[in-house]
Amino acid sequence: MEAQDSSRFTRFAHRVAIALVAISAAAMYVFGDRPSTHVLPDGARIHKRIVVSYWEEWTGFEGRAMEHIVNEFNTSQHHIFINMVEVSNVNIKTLISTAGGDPPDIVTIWSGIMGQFISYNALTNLNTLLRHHVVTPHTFVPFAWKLCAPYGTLYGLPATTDPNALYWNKILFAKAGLNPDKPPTTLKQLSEMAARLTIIKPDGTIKQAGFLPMEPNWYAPDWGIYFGNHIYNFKTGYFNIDTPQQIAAYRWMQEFSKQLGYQEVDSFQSGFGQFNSPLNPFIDGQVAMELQGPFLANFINRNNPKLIGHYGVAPFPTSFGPPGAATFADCDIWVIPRGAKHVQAALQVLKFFIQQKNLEYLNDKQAKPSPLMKTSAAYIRRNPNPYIQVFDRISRNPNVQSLPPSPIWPRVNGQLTVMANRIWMGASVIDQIRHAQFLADQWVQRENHLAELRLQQELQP
Amino acid sequence: MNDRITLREQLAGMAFAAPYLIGAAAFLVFPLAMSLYYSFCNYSMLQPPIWIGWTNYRHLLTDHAFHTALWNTIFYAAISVPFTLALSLFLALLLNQPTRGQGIYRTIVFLPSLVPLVASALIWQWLFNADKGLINSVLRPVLHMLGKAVLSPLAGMLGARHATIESLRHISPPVWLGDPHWAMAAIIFISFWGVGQTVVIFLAGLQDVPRELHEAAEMDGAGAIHRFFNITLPMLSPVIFFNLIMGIIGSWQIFDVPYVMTGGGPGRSTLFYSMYIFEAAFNQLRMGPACAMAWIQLLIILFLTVLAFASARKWVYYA
Repeated sequence: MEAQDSSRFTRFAHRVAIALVAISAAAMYVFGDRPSTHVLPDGARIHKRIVVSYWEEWTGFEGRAMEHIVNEFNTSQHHIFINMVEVSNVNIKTLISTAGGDPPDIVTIWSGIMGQFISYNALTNLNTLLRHHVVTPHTFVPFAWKLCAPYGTLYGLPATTDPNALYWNKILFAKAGLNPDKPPTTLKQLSEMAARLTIIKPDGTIKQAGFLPMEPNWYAPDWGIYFGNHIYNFKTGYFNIDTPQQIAAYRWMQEFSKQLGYQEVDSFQSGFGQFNSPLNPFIDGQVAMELQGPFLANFINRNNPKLIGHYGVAPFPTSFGPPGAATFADCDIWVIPRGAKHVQAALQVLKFFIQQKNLEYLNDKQAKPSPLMKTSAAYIRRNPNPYIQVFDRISRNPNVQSLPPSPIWPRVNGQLTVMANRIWMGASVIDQIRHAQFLADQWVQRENHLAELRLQQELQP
Repeated sequence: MNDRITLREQLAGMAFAAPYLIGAAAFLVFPLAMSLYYSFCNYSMLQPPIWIGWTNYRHLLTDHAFHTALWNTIFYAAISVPFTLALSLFLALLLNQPTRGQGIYRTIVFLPSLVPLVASALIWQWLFNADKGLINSVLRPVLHMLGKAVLSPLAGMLGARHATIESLRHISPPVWLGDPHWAMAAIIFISFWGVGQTVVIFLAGLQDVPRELHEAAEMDGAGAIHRFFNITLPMLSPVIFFNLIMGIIGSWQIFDVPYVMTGGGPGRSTLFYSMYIFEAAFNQLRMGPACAMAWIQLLIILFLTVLAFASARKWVYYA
């Protein structure tokens, strides 16, 4: 009887084992890796090509523009196929895939994380493009080059640029009795015009704002630039937060909050829609002047075409010189992460991407100025941004400041945003700025110490 | 023969358990051990870790954002856990009453907990919108009327200054997510929205309270309140205890709702512990301090759980 039970049990165990193997095999078949099924734009299958994986950060019409260039490349030759994937949160995913040793061959990343990726040795050195004269330090506009090669070594190539400028609504200017063709040229004028353009309802709430430094709030840490501050010291690696220019900038910013009441402004702002929606406060006429990038033009074209011809763009005023004496810009950058499997093929792809016609096509579709120093007349004519020349001039401006190539920049930037928020809510400007400076100094010191430690360990036999 | 069968059975048993054991070792024990190791390292994920001893833990002592996140989480947990428990118990008692449409009411209470957290956070974000949100649309006329008809005349009668009287005439509803104090209140309020699962567990517990105890107490002249405090509550104490433990763990892990609704703002007023761990690890590439924070979080939760278990001897009754 016991022997019978044992044999039954053995049979059962065998069956279960076979079932487990079968389930595993089925799972591998369904979810596992499989032979490439990539197809060309005309539906033809690719044959023995090298497949370069490419992560694109933009989706929607911006992603389509890049897809067009990718398709051009894929049909232009028979050796390499770019498999483009639109990836959200591309910074974090690139980080994880690089740390895991399986990154894509090319990624478009935001320039704000270049410092981290360069410092932590996560990017492939692209100096070979310099050696073969594919690019030189003068191929691209200075600020974009500095972001890609902050200390001389090339780690990326600029895809699109985002210089900032002042947008003003000419209709609202005229209604307020201001000359619609004359934007403010000084910060004092900007504040005065903002006051005239602001409309308060009888119940005390805001109906229309002339200018809000916290709209959009992603430029909150950068106001010091327009007062002559240079936030980063490239030589020492320290941050200049506690400076007279920075203090003046945030006092200026806080004035708006004091005049309008931060709660009233917050309440007013909470009614704004998404940046890319028709409820964008500049697009629907709730805010008369804004600091914005060139991309806003695309959303005006899409969401409120009636505004075309009734808004203007000019360099943002500064406290110490003419408009444009200082400004801020950043860009999207193509990089090859460390550990990419097809570096040589990826370099071929990048060479194609930075061809003038391709960069102009991409930036045209995104309403941005090209990162190249040389631009064609057709590109300026074709660009959907009616103020592309203004942005183009700004991006070539040698006074443009961009994001610091520091590994701790995201942390410092986070603290600066908190600082700006608290100042906006009424906290002491001096206290907040000093606190941010204290923290940033501490973090730089720690980072330097850790870098030394790492170096010592690496030098040990 | 018997021994051989036993051995074979043991091997088969181990084979059956192997998938779980391998999974647990690979995806639980190993990551746990590595995170403990990384908490003593400088590790950006992009470079090999370097052993730095207690430095990460020491630096947390002076990290202001860490203190803010810790305090915010303690504050949130201290308010949301007891209030969620009380509200859940109250709703469970109501839903336990034999009434028409009982099933419908139970479904209504449970439904919100089926909505994905991110989706509900987005909905609440609109509800709490200071300008166009439903909550303020209701509050605005009510506060206006209250200020004009009651508070302002009252202040006038009490001899308040003109400015005070005027300001009371125009009381406006809070800027929920833009004001540091109200933002936290809004996040706590939303935690009550997902009480459905706790209510269901309480309801199940209520079914286990012996009817005969109630009947006996009723015959002895005990009223409803007496019966609740002396029968229902003690009989439910194991369920309350279970929900308390789950509530403590859940409240210390809050992430999705504030991440979507406020991103930790304004001015870090809704920065919670798990959010700061995420920010340190994936935004600032400081995996070492992030792991250290995760281990401190584990120890805090462990401490609170042990504390709850120790106190349970005094108030939890297993009939």
